[in-house]
Amino acid sequence: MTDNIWASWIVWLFWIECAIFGLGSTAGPFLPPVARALGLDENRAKNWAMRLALALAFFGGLMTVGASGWYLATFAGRGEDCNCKIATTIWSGIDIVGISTFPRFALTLYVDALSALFGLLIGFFTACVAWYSFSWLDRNPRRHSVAGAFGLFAFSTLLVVLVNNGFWLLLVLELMSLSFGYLVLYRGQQGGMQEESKTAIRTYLIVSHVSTICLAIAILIIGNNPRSPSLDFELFRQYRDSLPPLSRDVAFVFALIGLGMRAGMTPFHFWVPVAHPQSPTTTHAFSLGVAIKVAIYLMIRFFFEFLSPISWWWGALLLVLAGLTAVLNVFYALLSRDLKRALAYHSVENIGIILVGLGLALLFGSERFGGDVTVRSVAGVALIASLFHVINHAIFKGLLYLGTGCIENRTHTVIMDELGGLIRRYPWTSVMFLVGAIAIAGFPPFNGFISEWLTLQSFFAGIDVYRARDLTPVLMLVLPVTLIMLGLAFALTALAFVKIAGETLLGLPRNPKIVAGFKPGDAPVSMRFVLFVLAALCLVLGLFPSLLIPWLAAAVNGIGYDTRALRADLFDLTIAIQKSSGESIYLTSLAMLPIGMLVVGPVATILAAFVWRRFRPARSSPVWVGGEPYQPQTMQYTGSALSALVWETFQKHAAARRFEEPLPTVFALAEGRYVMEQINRGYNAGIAMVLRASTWVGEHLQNGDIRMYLLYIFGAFITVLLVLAVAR
Amino acid sequence: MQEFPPLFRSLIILIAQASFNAVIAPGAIGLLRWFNARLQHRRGADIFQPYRDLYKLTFRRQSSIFEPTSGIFWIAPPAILACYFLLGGLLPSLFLTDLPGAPAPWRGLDLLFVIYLLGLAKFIAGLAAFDAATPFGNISNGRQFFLHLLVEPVFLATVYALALKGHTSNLDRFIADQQQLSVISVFANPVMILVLLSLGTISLAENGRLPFDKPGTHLELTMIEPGTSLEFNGRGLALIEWANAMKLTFFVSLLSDLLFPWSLATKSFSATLLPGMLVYLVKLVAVIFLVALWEITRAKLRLRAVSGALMAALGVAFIALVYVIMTDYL
Repeated sequence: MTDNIWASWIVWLFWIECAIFGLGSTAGPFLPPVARALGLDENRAKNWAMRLALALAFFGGLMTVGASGWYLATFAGRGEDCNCKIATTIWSGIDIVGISTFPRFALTLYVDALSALFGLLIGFFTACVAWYSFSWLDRNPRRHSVAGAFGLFAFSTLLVVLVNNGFWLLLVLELMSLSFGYLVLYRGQQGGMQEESKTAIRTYLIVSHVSTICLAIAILIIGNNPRSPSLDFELFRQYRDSLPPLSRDVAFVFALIGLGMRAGMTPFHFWVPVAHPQSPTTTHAFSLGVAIKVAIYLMIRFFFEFLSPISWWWGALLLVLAGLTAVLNVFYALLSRDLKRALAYHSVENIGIILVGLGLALLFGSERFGGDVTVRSVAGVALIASLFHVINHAIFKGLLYLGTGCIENRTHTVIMDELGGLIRRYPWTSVMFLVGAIAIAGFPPFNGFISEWLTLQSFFAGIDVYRARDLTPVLMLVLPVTLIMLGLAFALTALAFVKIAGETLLGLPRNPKIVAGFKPGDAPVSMRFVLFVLAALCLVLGLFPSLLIPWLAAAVNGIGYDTRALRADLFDLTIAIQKSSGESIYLTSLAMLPIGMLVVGPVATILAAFVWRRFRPARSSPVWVGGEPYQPQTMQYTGSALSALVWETFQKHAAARRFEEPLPTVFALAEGRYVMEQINRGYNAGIAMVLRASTWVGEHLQNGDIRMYLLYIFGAFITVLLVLAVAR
Repeated sequence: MQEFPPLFRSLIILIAQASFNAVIAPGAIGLLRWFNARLQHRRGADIFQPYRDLYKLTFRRQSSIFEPTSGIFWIAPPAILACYFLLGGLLPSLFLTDLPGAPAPWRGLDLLFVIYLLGLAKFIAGLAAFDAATPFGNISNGRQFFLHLLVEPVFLATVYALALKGHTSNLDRFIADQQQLSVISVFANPVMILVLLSLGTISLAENGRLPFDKPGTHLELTMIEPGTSLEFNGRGLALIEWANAMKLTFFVSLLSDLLFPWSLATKSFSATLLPGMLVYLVKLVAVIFLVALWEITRAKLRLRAVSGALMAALGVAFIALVYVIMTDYL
């Protein structure tokens, strides 16, 4: 099964790490009660319990990084036929009453490049958050149990990407839900708003259970394979072709609902900003940066491996939902006052961007385009884009959340329109936060740009899908509309992060009353160190994406997609889609050097400006606001004012304008004569109908709005061209 | 030149092109103002006035910075300038960097990169306005972002149509392909006409020209683009004004490149460079004249009505898209 006999040790290594996490999580909550029973000092016991749990999580995380990094470094670049998937049975399961068809519940761990990639992410962020939490949880009354629950959370998250059996998958997902559910109770336990806390935990548990039920149904449908009924993922892969098409489609729908709920995909996005902000800010970076991506991992596993001959409409459906996810959630984020809530909405928006990549890959990799090499090779690019964004989002969102943790630690609040001017008080934290804000808004030279560029390029590169005549009308609506929604989402993200960063960090404090409570000095060095590492990663991946792309390509190759269409080297990223005859279908490249100059340029200019400033110093003057006395709390522009124009416009268009005209009474004749009255009634009703119809036409069809008329021209145009195309 | 390593050659091309654009940019603004004045039967300042203004702001005025600001406020002008300087260097105005088969370290300008770079400049301007802790800059920034929000989808759809047409989103490659075609097949192509229409609308919106914004206005409560620089003075203002001039030159060259793709030097510093430069200047003047003609016939739209104009541009881009798919792919 493996290229290298040593590779099977990897699985055991992962197992040991899981055990370490598990050990830490049991140490956290249970040590203090034991100490109390023994009559020892409870406070010291809490300290030691927290330290033990966090230290174990930290080392477990580092080991996971080592093991997955070693795996990826060894096996990346071996192409599609790399026989480097490792499955090791930990426990062979039980044989229930000798029924051979009954599942044995064997516990098998499975490592391929995809799970190693997610393992890397999980390990890295477990280590980061554990390191950071030493200072963040210091003197917190619930430090031991938060640390323990975090260990359990990391443990179950790592197991989700490793288990190879439907039963165990559902079990560890449940463990994940419960451990995170404990963390959701945090704000309520700290004396936060009790009602909100109760709503949060109730919503979270209901959502996670409904999602588990849907996923269980999907697993049972896939497992009920006529050739070999089983819950073993290995057999799912082996006999996937003998699954009937109908059950494949039904299983897709259930898996999409179940996993979409966990990821916060649009019809189910409501729970994320309700539940997540209630958890401690330090584990937030893990729960929204990494743990929510487990759903993406499972989607890739289910859709591309277990349900493999893919129907084309899956991708189209996912694309539309993903576009909606991106636009709606970034819009809600724009309206939030609470920093944690705004960032939670942004996480869902980024899930939307990731899902756009997945949707494109599903569409291009579907059975419908199976014979078309040029389209299928774009599926690999789209998957790389999607995975790249998974990693990027984890990095900058981790940075933003841990930065928020620093802000909360210093100022005791996360309400944006009360803060302001933090960059002068806490320069390091604020600069790192700004880096995260530019990265998440997707601007070069940071990493967000690369994955957004790849996602958009996968739209462009898949141009050959339009050659499928029968699907062209549908695709012609789905693809450009999703593209436009994505563009809208990107622009809104930029606005939202100008608002978030500007309101929180820049200017002057907006609420002078709370300034007295601000702690002096920047956040502790150990916390800032983590921020620095993440900010540096944002820049490094933005300038040298070729460092990461081979690993992503290995993960994509592992599930059977070709990635040779994307070439990455130090100087450029090139997407070249070619026919087998060598004819070029699509060719474009992104040069890295100008992006590098974007770093060099301002730095050089700033240095020059420094010299010049010494030469001709600038005068410092009080703020001038038209001669009035300056009051920072009322005279600064607020974030909601900045975005007012946007949300007012959107609300106007979102609210359906109903036109209610009372029935015309002018035509009513005198009462009394029965027949005449009937006629009158009929006449009145007829007139009313005509009037209603004409007002409807005037309101909706011929309202003098140039866009409407353009739409008609557009529609007529499409109709004519369609008729021509069909007639030809 | 050919004996230089490709990395240096590309760097030299980039810096030469960027500097050329930076030098002519204030002149382009001056020319546009002069055309506007002449068309309105005013005498107008000569085209060198913007150079004199920049000189005055830089050397004759002392800069002052508001007390509450942090470093962001004075980093912003050079950073915004760097964005547009880079764009000017990357746009094929004198040279095409995507030589077939050449091992160039970069292969021309990716149009998506343009969208993001324009966004970055606005992002920095928005941060600077918050940093100044006064309302004026952000009043305009909110409007600027509102426009950006409407422009970005249109720009993406236009680039999509171009990519479907030219099988690349790389401007240099696209232009190199266009150069192979005859004059008739470039101009008579409905897709190019539609794309130019929507790109023209985008250019007007991005540069705050009529009907989106009145460039010469002095009323803070209505301005969009000039308002973002209200808090700056002295050197900072000079840099921002210069950057805005470069933005205008960038869009004008982009339009003129697509209108008239010939005459770009494909070999660096060859004999074709000088005539190419002259042709480029002629193209620039022609497009600027068209802009001036357009502007004297327009009035400013109400702020909330601009969405209609941009949605119309989106419709045009969509029609271009559908046309390409129908003709090239079915």
